[in-house]
Amino acid sequence: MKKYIIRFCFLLCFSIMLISCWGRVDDNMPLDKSNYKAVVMKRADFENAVGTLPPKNIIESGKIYIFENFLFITEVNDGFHVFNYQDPTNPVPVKYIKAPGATDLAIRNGVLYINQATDLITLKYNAQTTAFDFMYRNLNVFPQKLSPDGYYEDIDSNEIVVNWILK
Amino acid sequence: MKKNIFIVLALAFFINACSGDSETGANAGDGTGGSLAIFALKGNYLYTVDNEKLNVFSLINQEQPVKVNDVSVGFNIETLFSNDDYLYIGSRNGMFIYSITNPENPVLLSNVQHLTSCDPVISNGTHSFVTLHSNTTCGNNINLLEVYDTTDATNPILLHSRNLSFPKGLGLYNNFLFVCDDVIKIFDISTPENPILVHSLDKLCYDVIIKNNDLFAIGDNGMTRYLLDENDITNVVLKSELNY
Repeated sequence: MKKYIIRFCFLLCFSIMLISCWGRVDDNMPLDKSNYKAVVMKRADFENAVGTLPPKNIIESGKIYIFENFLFITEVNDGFHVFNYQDPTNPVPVKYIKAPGATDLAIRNGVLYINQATDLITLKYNAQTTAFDFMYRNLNVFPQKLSPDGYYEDIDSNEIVVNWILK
Repeated sequence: MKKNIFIVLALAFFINACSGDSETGANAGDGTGGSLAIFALKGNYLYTVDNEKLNVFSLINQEQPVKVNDVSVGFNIETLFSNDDYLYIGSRNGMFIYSITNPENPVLLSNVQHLTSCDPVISNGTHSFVTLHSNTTCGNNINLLEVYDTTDATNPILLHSRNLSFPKGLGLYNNFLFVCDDVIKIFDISTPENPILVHSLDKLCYDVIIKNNDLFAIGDNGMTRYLLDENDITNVVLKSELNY
C-alpha cells in the first residue's frame, strides 16, 4: 500500500512539474522568444502611407499577379511594383503602389483589393492620372501579422505589425 | 509624351478587360494570381484566407467591399485556389475543400491531413495537385508532389505521390502540370495517377502564372516570361526576363 502511495505521489509531482513547464512556456509565448523583431506602425501613419509612387527597384519579391497587360510583383510587406507588359519582350515599370504590411492583391475591372496587414483596402486605377486612387478601407478584418516562427507581438490597439525582420 | 502613351495603353487595357477569360468560372475583368495566392474572386464575392480563417467579402458595390462572413479553417493557412463552386485551401497541415454553392456561407466538404510542410494546392475539379515543401520555417524534410482525385470533393483520394527536390508553386496548362522545383518541371497529367515528366525549363522559381499561352515564372532574382505552344509542349519560347 505504502508503495502505491509513493508511486502516486511521484506521479503527482511529475504531473505538477509538467504543468508548471507548460505554464512557463505560455507566459513567454508572445514575447522574447521569436527570432524575429516586429516592425510596428501607428494606425494613422499606416493608413497615410498608402499611395502611388514612381517605379523603384525590387528588393524582396513576393507574389505575382496579372491583370490584362499589367504585371504586379509584391514587394513583401511594403507594396506592389506595377509593370506594363503590353510588349511581351519588354516589361516597362510604370508605378509603385505603397502599402506597408501588404502581401497580396486581387483585381477586378481595374479595382484592386489589397490585404494591408489587418485591413482590406480597395484602390481604383485612374486612367486620367495613371494613379491608383484610394477607395475604401475595411478595418481590422484580418489578424495581426504572425512572425515567420509563429509569434504574435504584444501591441496597443492603435498599432499595427507591418513586418517581421530577423533579429 | 510618355504619359500619353501610358493613357492609350491604359485605355487599351480597359477595353481588353471586357474580353472573355478562358478560366473556368472566371469573371471577365478579373485578374489572375499564382498558386501561392490568398485571394479568389468568384461571382459577387471576394474570398481570402488569413492564418486561421476564410473571409468572405461582398462586392455588390465593387468600390466598397462588405465583410459578410468568416469561417475558422485551422492554423497556418497559406493558399487559396478557386475552381467552379469550390475553394481549395492549402495549409501547413493539409488541404481543405469548401463548397461555395451558397456563396456567403462556405461549407467544409473535406480535409486531407498530412505532415507539416508548406503546400499550395491547385485543381481542375476532377483532380487536385499539391506540393509539399519543407525548409527551416516549415518543419520536417518532406518534398513531394501529390495528386488527389477530387471528383467527389467530400472524399479526396490520393492517387499519386512522388519525391521532388524542393517543389513550390504550380500551374495547370491543358493536360500539363508545371511545378517550380530545382528546375521548372512539366508533367503530362493525361493519366493523373501517373504524371510523366515531358520537359523542363532550367529556371529557379517559387511560383508560376499560366494565362492562355503565357507562362510567368517568378524567382528570388527575377521574373521570366515564356510563350507556350499548345501543339508542342517542348516548344517553349523565352520572351523576356526581369532581373533584380
